[in-house]
Amino acid sequence: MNVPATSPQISEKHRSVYADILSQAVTGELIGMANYAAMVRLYRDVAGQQDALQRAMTELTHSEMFSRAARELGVAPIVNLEAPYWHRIRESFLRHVDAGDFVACLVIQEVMLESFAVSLYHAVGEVPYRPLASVFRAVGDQEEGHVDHAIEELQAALAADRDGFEQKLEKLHDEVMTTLAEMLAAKDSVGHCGLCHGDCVKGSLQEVGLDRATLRGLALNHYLRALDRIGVRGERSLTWVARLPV
Amino acid sequence: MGSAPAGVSTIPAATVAALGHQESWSQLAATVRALRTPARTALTDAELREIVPWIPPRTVSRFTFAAAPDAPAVGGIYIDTFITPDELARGPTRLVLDKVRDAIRAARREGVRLATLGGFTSILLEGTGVESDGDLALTTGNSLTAALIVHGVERAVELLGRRLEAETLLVIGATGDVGSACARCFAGRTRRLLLAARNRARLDCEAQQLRQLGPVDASTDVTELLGQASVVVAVASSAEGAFALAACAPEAVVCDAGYPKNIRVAPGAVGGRRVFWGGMGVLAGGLKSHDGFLEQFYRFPVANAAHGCMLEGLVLAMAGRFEPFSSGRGRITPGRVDEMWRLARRCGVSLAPLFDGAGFWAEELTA
Repeated sequence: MNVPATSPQISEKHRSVYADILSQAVTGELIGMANYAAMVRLYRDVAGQQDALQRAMTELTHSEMFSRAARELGVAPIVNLEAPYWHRIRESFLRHVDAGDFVACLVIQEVMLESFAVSLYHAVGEVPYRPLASVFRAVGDQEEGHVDHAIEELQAALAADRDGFEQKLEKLHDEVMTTLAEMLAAKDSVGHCGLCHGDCVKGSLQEVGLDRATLRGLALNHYLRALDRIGVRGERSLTWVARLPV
Repeated sequence: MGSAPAGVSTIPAATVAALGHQESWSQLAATVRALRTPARTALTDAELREIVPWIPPRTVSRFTFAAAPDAPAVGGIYIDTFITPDELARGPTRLVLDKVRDAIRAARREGVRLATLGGFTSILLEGTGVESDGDLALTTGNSLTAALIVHGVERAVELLGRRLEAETLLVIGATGDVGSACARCFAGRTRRLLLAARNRARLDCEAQQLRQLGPVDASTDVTELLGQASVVVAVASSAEGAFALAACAPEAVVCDAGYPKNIRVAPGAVGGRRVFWGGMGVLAGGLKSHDGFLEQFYRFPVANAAHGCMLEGLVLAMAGRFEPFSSGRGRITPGRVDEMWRLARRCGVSLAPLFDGAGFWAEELTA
């Protein structure tokens, strides 16, 4: 179906699902923006600080792209940085910023949150409503391209102290990935996620050709591949993901 | 799996990777159960199916092995492709082949010098032109698998007081890499040789060559031949489903070495038929994982047992021969099977006592 972006001929059911997906995307990008902004103080050199600020701006741009897509669709996404899951992730991230733990911040933002975002954006990039799909695909492609530099930094950290690095990563996994996995798990531990307009969107995803289990699987796959690229031992990361909530 | 190879003070670096997959969802459930801490509830089948297909191929366990208890230990890794039983049943799809390629990449990341492609994963080396390179040699492990099947059949027949030359032997999957190797090894040694495979042209070609050594019949319809055979070697990598044991001759000896298992054994339908899982060997010096994890899901009634395909990689590593000993399809000759068997014997490999899903053959216990 190829419809003009300004007058989308889509059902209310689809519109409602897209609105909830956009709420997650806009909020997630703003969380990313805030995280990169918070990381500025972890860089000692100006070039690093500029880079972090630039990344924050990019996340803001993505958020605006999703907001524009929402407007064109005629829906109003809920923007809620205090939504329970995102709040939990943000709190965790800030703890590591306060501790001055640059590697932990890089892992959370570039490996965990980006894996989650990239895999989901590419999946949403296949929804039937083309104008929205193309926005998600474009943002997904951009996000994916950013990870390489972080991977190199994390490879160096692993090479310096493999055991220490993997232990740190395991703790971060339990802290952050557990929350991200819960966002796509069959059951919610927090009740309402704070971003859906009505009932949880997870049960309605199939309306637009998506399904919760596949989205969860794609995110898991992307995350494990990122860990593989860093050089984390396969048997270690396997035990971590095996205990994630389903 | 048994005790650690003796004399191991440090863990040797891995030089060989065994690539494989689990054959059933229950085996996968056991794997995931072992990974989850005991405090966590076991996953349901539905939950398991939600996780496993998405796990990229990766190292699952590291182990050491040796030719003898007092021999130097060698390091190896097990890489699971996480090809699910459902994917396995659909045959060599692009998804499955991609998983095998990813597993080979995982082996390269680990820096091993040799990878042996166990079970269904060998399909990639048999038919798609994936080659070894200077850094990583790839072997299917099919030469040792064939050797263990041949010696297993010989032992089964002997244990039952029968003679191989009096048997009518059927090979199911006779144009596959293991099947053709077995057929060539048995040709001229049995009363009659029966060959079954789906590809008519390849089957006719194989049968024609083997007729020079003795009587051979061939058919693309397994059921046509199944009732005629007193010995069945089932080595098909078939997505078509298993054959019922009840369709075999009443006194048939069945060696099932297929992935997935080729013969469906229904309780009460066994009668005088005897089944064993073929292609299994035992390593005298032991095979033990560092974390005890491999033993959680790779376990057999006999200690230190492993599939022939896995053992071929270990044997080559112990011998310092990091080479693609078995590659391509239909290239394994009886001479190569013998060569691998001699090498395997020198490296402490012997035929595993005959067993099936219910345990050892009674004759093995009294032998």
